[in-house]
Amino acid sequence: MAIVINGSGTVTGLAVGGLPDGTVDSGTIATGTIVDADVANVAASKLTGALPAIDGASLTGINIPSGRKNIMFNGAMNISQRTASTTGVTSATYGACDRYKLILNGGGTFTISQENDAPAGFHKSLKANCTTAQGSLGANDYGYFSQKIESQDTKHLAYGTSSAKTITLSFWVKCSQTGTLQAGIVHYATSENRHIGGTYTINAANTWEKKTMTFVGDTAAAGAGNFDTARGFEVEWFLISGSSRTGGSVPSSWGTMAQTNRNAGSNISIGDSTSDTWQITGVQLEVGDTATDFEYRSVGEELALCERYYEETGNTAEQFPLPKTRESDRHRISAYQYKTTKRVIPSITLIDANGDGGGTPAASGIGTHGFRATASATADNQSPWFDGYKADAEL
Amino acid sequence: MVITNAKYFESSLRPDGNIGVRATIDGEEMSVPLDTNNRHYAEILKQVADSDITIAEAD
Repeated sequence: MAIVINGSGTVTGLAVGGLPDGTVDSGTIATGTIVDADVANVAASKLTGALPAIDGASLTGINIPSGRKNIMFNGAMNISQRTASTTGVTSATYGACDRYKLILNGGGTFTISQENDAPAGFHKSLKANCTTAQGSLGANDYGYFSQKIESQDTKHLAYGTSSAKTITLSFWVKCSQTGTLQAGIVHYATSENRHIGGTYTINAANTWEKKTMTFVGDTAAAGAGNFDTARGFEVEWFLISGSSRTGGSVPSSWGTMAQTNRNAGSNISIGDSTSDTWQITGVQLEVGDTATDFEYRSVGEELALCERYYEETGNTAEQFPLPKTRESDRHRISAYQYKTTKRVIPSITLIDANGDGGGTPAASGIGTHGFRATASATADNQSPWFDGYKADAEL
Repeated sequence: MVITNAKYFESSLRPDGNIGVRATIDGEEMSVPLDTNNRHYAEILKQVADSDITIAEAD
């Protein structure tokens, strides 16, 4: 026989055992009898069934990033304007993928290349392949990949204030050795160089692995940046270094950069054996404490972003002839506009400049939007030209 | 950066003082503006200060 309890009195003495299955259903619960306070602490583990559809208008406090989220350039390694491969690298070189520079001071000899080997969802990667091992590593020897971010592109991070934002770096890496390496960020702040970093572990050799590192915001006043066209952040992945960059400790919080911390915590070296390789792609640096899905950009969009720092036309025979423009002294002059406005006034290289028997064309009047080329002919029938140009405004 | 053959140049249209440095930098002939925000010019100044290179006067 069912026991019916009415009224508001307290019933005691019932054995703990809960109600039998199926005794509480929608017919048992009168509309409005469960109030907010009764369901304030439902553990996520109890929500195992299918959730009801919730209208977006009912959701609050969800911060969905809008607009561009990846602070890095060329994270998918699709752009390589200079060349797809550079051999014999022993000093700082932009050798393959745009915006990534291998900085070497000792530490071996490398080939840097853009590769078609990449994890699912990516097409390209950047690879460092040691071709001559560093036999005896000096204390001041080092090698690391770097990308510098313009200072004004870091302003939204509010560094140097109490609102400084946490950021997360994620990337795919493939390495010939297992062990630990360091990645970090140098912030060229107004008053000093600041640094934070962490280690990541290569668990399986020659296997693509995704790594994620989260760094708190720099709230110290010394962390304020200049927010101009100069370098702001430098994201770096160390491959090898001597004791002058490993003798400290892993910089897990922002502080004045100490060289001894920059590769602290690593226990392998990429460059002490000719079999060493290290590859990377899918690089993303974003606001927040979570590595979200990679922000894919079209090749054309990414190319235009990279061209702010470096632009190269390629090499097409006689593509840039210099017409007759000032015949009184046989000056040949022509002006050229870059595809993308440059960060600062760039250095100009004319590719295969040829004077056609007269003076060789040279760049002049260089600005952030364009430049002119001039040549002094020595005869009326001379038509100087060049095959292309390079405009370098890298950080 | 390996910098050789550094030489100032003036405007070819209206020569009125130096406007840049032509140099061979890491094997490439470059026209470098006199702007310290340009990494090549900054390095040229550094190597001049270190007495590693000199810059020849313009023609």
